[in-house]
Amino acid sequence: MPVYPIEIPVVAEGQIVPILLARASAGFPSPAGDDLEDEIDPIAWVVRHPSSTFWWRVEGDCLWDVGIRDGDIIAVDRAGKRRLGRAVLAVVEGAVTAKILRKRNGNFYLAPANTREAFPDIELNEDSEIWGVIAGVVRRYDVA
Amino acid sequence: MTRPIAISDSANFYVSAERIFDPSLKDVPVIVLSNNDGCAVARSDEAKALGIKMGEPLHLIRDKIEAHGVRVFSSNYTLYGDISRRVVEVYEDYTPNVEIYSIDECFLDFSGFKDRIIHARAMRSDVLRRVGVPVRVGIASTKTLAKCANDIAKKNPIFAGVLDIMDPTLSSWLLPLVPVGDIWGIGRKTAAKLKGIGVGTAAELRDMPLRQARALGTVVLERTVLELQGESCIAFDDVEPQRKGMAVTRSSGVPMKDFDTLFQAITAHATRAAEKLRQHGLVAGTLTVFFHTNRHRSDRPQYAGSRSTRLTPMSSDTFELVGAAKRCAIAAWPKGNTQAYGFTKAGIMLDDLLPLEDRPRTLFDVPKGSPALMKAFDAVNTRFGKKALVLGSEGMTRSWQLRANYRSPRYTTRISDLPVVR
Repeated sequence: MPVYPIEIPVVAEGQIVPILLARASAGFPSPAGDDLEDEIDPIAWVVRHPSSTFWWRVEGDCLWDVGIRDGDIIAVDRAGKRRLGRAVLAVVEGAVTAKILRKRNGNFYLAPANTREAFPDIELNEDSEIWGVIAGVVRRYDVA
Repeated sequence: MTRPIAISDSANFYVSAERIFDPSLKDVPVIVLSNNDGCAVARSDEAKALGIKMGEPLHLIRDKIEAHGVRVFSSNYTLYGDISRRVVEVYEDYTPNVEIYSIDECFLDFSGFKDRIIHARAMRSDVLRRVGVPVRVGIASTKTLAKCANDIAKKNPIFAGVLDIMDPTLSSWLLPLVPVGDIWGIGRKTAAKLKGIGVGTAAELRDMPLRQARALGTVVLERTVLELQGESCIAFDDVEPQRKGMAVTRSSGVPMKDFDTLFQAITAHATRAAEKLRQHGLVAGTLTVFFHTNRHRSDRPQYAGSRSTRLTPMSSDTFELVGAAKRCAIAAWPKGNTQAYGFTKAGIMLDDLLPLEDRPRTLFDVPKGSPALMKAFDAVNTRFGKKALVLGSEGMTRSWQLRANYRSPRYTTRISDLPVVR
């Protein structure tokens, strides 16, 4: 089985993530054995700030194009930076909605990300607030 | 040198926690009920404005709730505990020394920070941003004064949630404005006594002769006077005091009328108590069982039963504790017309706690219980969730469990209860 070295370093939180390049071979102890430390914990990788990250369940497909679908569980970081183009949770007229933060003619608005179905844009007014920034998504499939 | 102590707390904490996940609760009256949905224990400012009092029973405010659309919640301690933990995590980024005083109050050591106000403001806005709970911070040289500052900051929006009264000019201006009954540790009786001799404000109490304070209200009042003078008497605890006793008690949702139902509740409480002992590596020497009828229902027959027993050898074994509790419960069960009583509260108290390794042993101690079995018991319940494995005597229906008809979802601790976004 060939192993392809990764040319571009993988960076997370400004730190280079070491990638294990070990050949798996039958009948011979893996030279990588000694380097294994912990079980892989993708949740810890998604949750950058445990005290400010809350999990929500998604209903609807208005963020389909950015890979968030009906039934997914998303991590929402209240301490995340509100940047244009990011998927956010926003409170508009007493309801919480997940959309992309955009700006048009100097005004902020919330846009869907779904080219298959039509969802309306929502203008942000002084009463609305950004609840948090979507930090990751978890989906599971049937295995039974 | 005096050490600046801050106390940070959240006004209407339970309501604030409910509001994080349900924006429709913003700006509307909200109340949270006590255990068993009895009375209001947390009120939003809007609910306070409607005249709903702290501790007011639910059945007396039904009209107000209907008329003004007050949103009512049962206490959701799982949620409040998780939010509280997150708030403390933020505090820990702002001081190395946090002392948790209650679910919504922490004393914080603020020594070493150059500009305490800026530091406190940054902490306050960080708690709001990261967790979503508004907190107020009071800073002073003693815990009692810090509580005062916190109280003033809470009641007067001009301070924008942060008040530092380390500055003597500020404290000499504010203390004459604080009613003596609002001071930490001054109960209603003491406040009345003090007013009787013309001590009506924090400043007047501060200036009271120590000997007179001691004569009027024992050492506790004397200590409060010293604290108001800026002399720290209530230490900033660096170590948690060792637990000497613990209790597991609950009110029952439906009055318990027969022994089996009562014993189911007692089994559950004893099981929980044994788990807590093992978590802390302790064993208990004395176990007390108690149960009583609703004391506020003088129209119904009243009975209070209670029995204690020694645990020899000292133990943290679930079977041992449940067995001892059963002997106590049988002994305390009313003789005669037992069907007449409806027990609304039952509990277990454990005293004489010692670390397992310090447990006294006699020459002829027969080892009772099985540590291996208990280890397995705890492992199963850790892995498969609380109460995955219970003793049969706990029963299956749990009719003694609390009434919580209006509880919000456990938004942060259960995958089935996650808040939903569309």
